[in-house]
Order: sequence, then C-alpha cells, then structure tokens
Amino acid sequence: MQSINTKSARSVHLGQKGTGKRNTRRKRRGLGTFDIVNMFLLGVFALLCLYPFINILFTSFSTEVDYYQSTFLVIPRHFTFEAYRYIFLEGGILHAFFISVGVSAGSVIYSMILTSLGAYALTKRDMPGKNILFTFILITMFFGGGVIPFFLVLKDLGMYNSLLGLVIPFGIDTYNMILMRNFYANVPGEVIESAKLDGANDFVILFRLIMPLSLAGIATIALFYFVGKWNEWYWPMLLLKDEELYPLSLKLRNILSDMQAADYYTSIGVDSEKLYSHGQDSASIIVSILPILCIYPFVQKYFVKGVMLGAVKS
Amino acid sequence: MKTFSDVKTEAEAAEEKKRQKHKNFRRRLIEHKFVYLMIIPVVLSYLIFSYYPMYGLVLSLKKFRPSQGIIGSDWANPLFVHFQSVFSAPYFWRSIKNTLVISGLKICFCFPAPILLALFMNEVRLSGYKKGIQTIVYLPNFISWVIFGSIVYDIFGYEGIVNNLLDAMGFSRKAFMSDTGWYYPILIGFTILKDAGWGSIIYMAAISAVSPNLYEAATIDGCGRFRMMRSVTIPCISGIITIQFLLSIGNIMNAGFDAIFNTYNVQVYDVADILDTYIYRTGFGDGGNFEMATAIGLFKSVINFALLLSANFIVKKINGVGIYELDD
Repeated sequence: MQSINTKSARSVHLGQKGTGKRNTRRKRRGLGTFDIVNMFLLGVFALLCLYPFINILFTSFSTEVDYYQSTFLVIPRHFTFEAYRYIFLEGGILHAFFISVGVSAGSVIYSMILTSLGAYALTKRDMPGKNILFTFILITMFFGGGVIPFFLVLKDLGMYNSLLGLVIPFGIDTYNMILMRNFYANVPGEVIESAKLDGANDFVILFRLIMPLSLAGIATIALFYFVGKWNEWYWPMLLLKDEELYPLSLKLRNILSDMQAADYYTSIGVDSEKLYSHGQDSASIIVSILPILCIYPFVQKYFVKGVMLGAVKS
Repeated sequence: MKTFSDVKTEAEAAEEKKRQKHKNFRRRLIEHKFVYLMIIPVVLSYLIFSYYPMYGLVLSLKKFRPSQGIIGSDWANPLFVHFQSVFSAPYFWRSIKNTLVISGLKICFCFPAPILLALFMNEVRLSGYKKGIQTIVYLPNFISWVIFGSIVYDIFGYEGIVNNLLDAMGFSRKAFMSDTGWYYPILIGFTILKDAGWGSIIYMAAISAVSPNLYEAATIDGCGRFRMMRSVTIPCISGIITIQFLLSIGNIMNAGFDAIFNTYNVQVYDVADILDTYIYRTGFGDGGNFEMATAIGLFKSVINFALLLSANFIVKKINGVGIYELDD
C-alpha cells in the first residue's frame, strides 16, 4: 500500500515541476520500458512457479496416450476422470487423506492451545521468572538433541506406531510461539487492565479477550501449523509401522519415490515393467494440495501481515 | 550539603524501597498465579520433547541395548569409540564437505534471490498485477518437498520434460538426475523457485517502511529507478539483509534435508549426501547404528550452536537487539 502511495506522490511531484518531457510522457503512457521488462520477467518467474502444478493438474486428467505424446506440457486431449475415479474406488489415498485431516485438525487445536498459553505468559512483563522462562524456551532454538535421541524418547513414551505420536511431541514450534507472542503483545494494555478490574482471571483474558482480538495472528499461525502437519512425512515415516495409519503425505512419498526409482531404471536401460501411473500419481498430488489451495486465498492477507509483524519485531 | 537527617531519611527510604520491592515481588507472584498454572503444560512439553532428548545425547557414549533404553545401557568401552568411528568414516567427511558446499551455494544464489524479487516486485505499479504475482510466488512455500521432488523428476527425469524437448530436437536423452555435475544447478534452481517468493515477504515489509521523502529527494536529485534502488532502497533495508545473512551463516550446518532427501539417489551421493541425510541413513538405514548417528548429530548440534550464537552476537552488536530477544 505504502509503496504505491510513494509512487503516486513521486509522479505528482514530477508533474508539478515538469522535469523533462520523458517523465511527462511516461506518466501519460503509464508504463515505461523498464516497467514492461520488469513485469515480463516477474511474470516469467511466476509462470515458472505455476507451470509444474498446471502440468500435474493436466496430467491428472490425461490418458496414457496424451502423456506419452506430450513434450513440454501434457495436454488432456482425451479428457478423463479415470485417475480420480481410481483414487476414490481404490480407497487407499482417500483413507490416508482422512487420516491426514484428523491428524492435522487435532494438532492444530492442540498446538494452538499450547502455543497460546506460552505466548501469553511471554507477554507478561512483570512476571517473576519471565526471563528464566524465556531463556528456557530460547535454548531449544539453538540446541537440540537431534533425530535419534528424539526418536528413542518417543519410542520410550509409547508413541511408536500411534497417531498420537504425530501430535503430542510437536505441540509447540518456538518460532510460532514468539510470533504469536508479538501478536498478543499488540493488544492494548488498557483493555486487559479494565478486564482485570472486572474480575477476569488470566484464562478468561486470554481465551475471551486476547485471542478474539488477535484473529489475524491466530489465522496465520494456525495456517503454519496446519501446513506443517499436512506436509509432514518424515516423522510419520519413522514412527508409523502400519500402513493403515499412514497420512497422505507419507503415502504420497512412497508412491512418488517408486516412480523416481523407475525413472532411474529406465535411464540405464532396464525395463521396469513400465506401468503407466502418472495419471494416478498426479491426481494424488492434486488431492493432497487441494486443502492447502482452498485455505490459502483466505489467509493470504493475514500471513503476509503476520510475517511482516514478525519481521518488524525481530 | 547533606545534613544528618537527610542521610537518615535516605537510608530509610532505601530500606523502605527494599521492603516495598520484596512485597511487590510477592504481590507479583500472586498476581500471576494463573499464568504459572498456564505454563505448566508448556514447560512440560519442552522438558519432555526438547530437554529429555538433549539428555539422550549421552547415547553417543553408550553401547545401546534397546531393551535397557538410553539410561540403562552400559557405557561404551572405550568411551569415545563411536566418535572415533565417526571421524574415521570417509562418508562422514564427504557429508561435511557437501553440507558446506551446498550451504555456500545457497548463500551465493538462494540468499540474494528473494531480495531481488522484492526489489523488482516493489517497482511494479499495477497493483493488481503485483498482487497476482505475489499470490503465485508465495504458494510453493506451502507445497512439500515430497511433491517438489516429484516435480524435479517430472522436469529433469529421464522421461521428463527437458529430455522430451531434447528428444524432439534430435538430441539423445540424458540422465540428469544421476549426473553429479547436474545435481547442484537443479537443486539450487528449484530451491529458489520454492523459497524466493516466501523469503521476499520480509524484504517487502522492510521496503514498505522506507520513508517516501527519501524517494522524493532522490527524484529531485535526478535519480533513475535503478539508481533509486541502489542508493535509497538497498541502504534502507540493509539492516534486515544483514540479519538474514547472518542467520543463513548460522544455519550453515543445515543444508536442507527435505530438498535433498526427496531428490537425491545413490548415483549422486558423492555430491548430495549432507550431514542430515548421512545421519538418517546411519541411524535408520540398513544395519542402523543409533550410537554413531547420535554422535554425528551431537557434532552437528555443537557446531550449529556455536554458529548461531556467534550470529546472534554479531547481530546484537550491530543492531542493539539480538535475533531472538523480546523487545522490552
């Protein structure tokens, strides 16, 4: 917003002074060469970001023939829903999808509660022991036990091969907690003071007052937790034994890495019983990014604000 | 001149202040009783899932028996035997080298990318177009490397798009993904594609905080847009650039596990195997060796700790406030 204002202020200034024909002309035409080239290059970059996903989307609607005839972009000449039908009938992907939904929803709620509690405590400026608490939390950002000890601790606690093991140990992300603390610290102190005078305790203040006043922050951080959990495949891979329990991300990883292996065998000339599965794989990818795509537009303005707030504060 | 009674009242005042402070402390304790209640689950979560694993690092000095757990297992004999085997393992040194090389390449190429992106996005005047670009470039951040890994293969795989194009132009297909010479360019390219957009947000924020007066002054001085970028925008956001730069230096030991794990294969281990992937394969691969993997992890954590601490120290020197510090 502000940068746009900056620009208009600048051009108004130019107009008044009338410095040179070029500027006036540029103002009239609106866009100079620089603008065009710049917008073109940015457009190319954005297309590069978008292109793989369009290709995946098209592949998911294509037949084998379309796929093998394509060079640059798979074009679904023989448009088909076969891949999606397969996913729904076969059921494995769908099952994993619902596991992912459950695990993600559960962990967002669990994480948000835990993170809020910690973030609220960090806003308390005159709480005795505040610095100890902060140091206690901060140390974990600088130093950690690493993968193996963490894994063994989880195993010790009976979290191996259990969906709870994907939620409970990952309750707090310290970065998110500090970000959330910055949001909470923005709630005016007078509001909190007056609530206190009305006899509200800290639980009421946090859950009834501060959280409703920090919706942008909550949306941002809930999104971060959700996406993190939705995309998580590493710990499920280490912790889950039964394929029944696999979330979608892990299932997808197994499918896709098989495909990568097949690609290698083809490259050294071994025929790996070529089975066309690109359509199904692409459809699985689409199914797996659909929830993110659905939430994304609604929270975009929030997370931009959220990240900025975090940036300005740090 | 102080009189006797003044001194006396001063001492009394100090005494009174001390008593007040003490009383104040108790009052503050009681006042925050619910907050202390609130942080119990938070502290427990940190203790169990962050501090207990730190203690678990002693595993690197033990002979692990799964039935006896970390604490019950006997000490290794000799005590540092796992470290000895780590330091004499050739793959360990290879993974250190690769970690440093990949982090170095990332600092050279992936670090400036979001800055450039932000600078040029800032120059777009059509706000609708700008918004559209932003929406698209932020998106890949939310897609996991599992999917990006498969995209990499879609494009550079043996039957990928680049090979299709080569084929169509009459060249022979090339196995890019098993070619050690191609691994870095592909990895870095896709990392930029995935992270540059998201990384630019922070710089966009910094740019939008630059005072319009500076641009006006620069215009009066006859600055063109590139000159404006160089002489106004970049100096104004240099603080945040420095912080981000030091942060990347502090994270040099993390060369990006997800990206590499989802794109590498045995053929490119020589250039792609980083510390994290090596730890993973040592611990969970065939004939997994938890103790040795923990020892490598400890080595990594210690260096990482030192780097982050120094980065934080330097930022504090420059900025007055450390990277991770509450602002009050």
